[in-house]
Amino acid sequence: MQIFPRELNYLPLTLALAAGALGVGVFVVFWFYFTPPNLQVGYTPKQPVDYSHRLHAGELGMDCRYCHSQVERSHEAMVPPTQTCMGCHAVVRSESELLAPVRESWETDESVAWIRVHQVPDHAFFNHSAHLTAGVGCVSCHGRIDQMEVVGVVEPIAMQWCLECHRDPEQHIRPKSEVTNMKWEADEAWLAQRAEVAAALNPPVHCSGCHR
Amino acid sequence: MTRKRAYEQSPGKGPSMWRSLEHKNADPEELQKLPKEERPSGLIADLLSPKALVSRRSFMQGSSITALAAGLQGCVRRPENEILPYSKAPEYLVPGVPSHFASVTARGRDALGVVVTSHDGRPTKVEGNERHSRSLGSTDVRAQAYLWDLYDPDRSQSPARRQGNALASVTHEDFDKALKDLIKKHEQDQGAALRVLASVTNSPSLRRMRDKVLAKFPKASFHTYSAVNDDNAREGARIAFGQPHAPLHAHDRSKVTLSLGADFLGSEHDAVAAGRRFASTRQIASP
Repeated sequence: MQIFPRELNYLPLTLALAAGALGVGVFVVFWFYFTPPNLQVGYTPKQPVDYSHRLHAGELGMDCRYCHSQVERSHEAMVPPTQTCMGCHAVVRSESELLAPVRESWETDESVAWIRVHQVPDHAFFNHSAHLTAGVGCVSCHGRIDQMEVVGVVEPIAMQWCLECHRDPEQHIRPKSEVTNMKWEADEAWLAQRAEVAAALNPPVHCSGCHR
Repeated sequence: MTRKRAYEQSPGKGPSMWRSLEHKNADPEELQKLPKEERPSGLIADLLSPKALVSRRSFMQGSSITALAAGLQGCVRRPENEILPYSKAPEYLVPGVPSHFASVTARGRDALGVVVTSHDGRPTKVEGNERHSRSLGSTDVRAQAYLWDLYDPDRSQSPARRQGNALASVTHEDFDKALKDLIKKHEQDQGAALRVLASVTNSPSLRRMRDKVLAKFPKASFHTYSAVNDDNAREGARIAFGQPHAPLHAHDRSKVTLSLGADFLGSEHDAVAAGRRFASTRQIASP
């Protein structure tokens, strides 16, 4: 007696095709979309303090290194201690509601729990000071911070992207005096000597340059 | 005469329609057709028919996958990573760059100069201090293990008071109060009943403290004890030279060194620097 309809003979074939298509689909989705350009760019977490880089670095024109003071000495750019904020805000807007978490941190000695925005994976070594010494501007990786109310990721922090510059740094370097200048544009004098400066840099492109 | 409807003109060819169950059930032939109608073209074709694909359920599935994929754009970072800077940063501390501190560790009447490497305020390595005459840049196994002392969970975190065989933690205020009571008690007889037991040390700081205590309590006395000591060597030096000198061997100037049971490169007084001086005379024939 025929229990199952005849069409069920096609079921194994259909299932195999569907499974294959699904596998390929999942692979393609991960291969193309689970990559830093999709996962990193645009990441803009809400910070515990509504700190505005647009106001401080843009309108007020503060240098990056006023707060990120060790960026030229350390591999970390470092988020400043509460002390740095209080240096001005003990006097400036000392009653502001927006600064309540900062004052609390100052009084209780507890850290302000900032959320990390730019994250280089643990398996890659990155040194801020080395890049500043080479003449890579802040803006090259972090974008126009001076226009951001809340800081987000603008460049894909991915190996491909790192290597683009490491293979040919000429387009991405600037005079060392201009590294923190967000609005800088190459002038004639710099263009004339740029190739020579870039040739001397020789950034690592071998694996152990970054994966130490 | 009214116009016939499509299904009435060619029964069985068009889609079957009815106005009510009575109307439908009136014809037994219609009932016979029912199972076939419900699955007009078979199981597989039915599953893949457009009707099934745009069903309410599959529409919900599809739209939720789309929403998820849209949500993935630019906001996947789990768990969120926190950066916790100091509230009040220690002076000269550069996050990520180690600092080095010269220090000295007391070892009985000897001392060893060391350099302690500290990452972000946490000591991570103890090495010898080249400029210290007892180290000459070297350490020994004990000095290498000093780091463990710093993170020893049994290290006392607060003052403690003996209770039976155990120690009970007390506050610094309790300690100050107990100390004041003790001072008041012994002030009456200039410390005649006061004895201090300490470990053997050459520390100038401890010596200064001892002198201060003795100035206040002239009749008090200090005693030292160490399970491992060089009392015999000191007594020998006293017999030989009249004073308890400690020998400082110039191995770098000796051609042959005869040791009679003295572990002068291992565990004895000044062994670290002695090893360095001893090794400095080695002549390597071919490197």
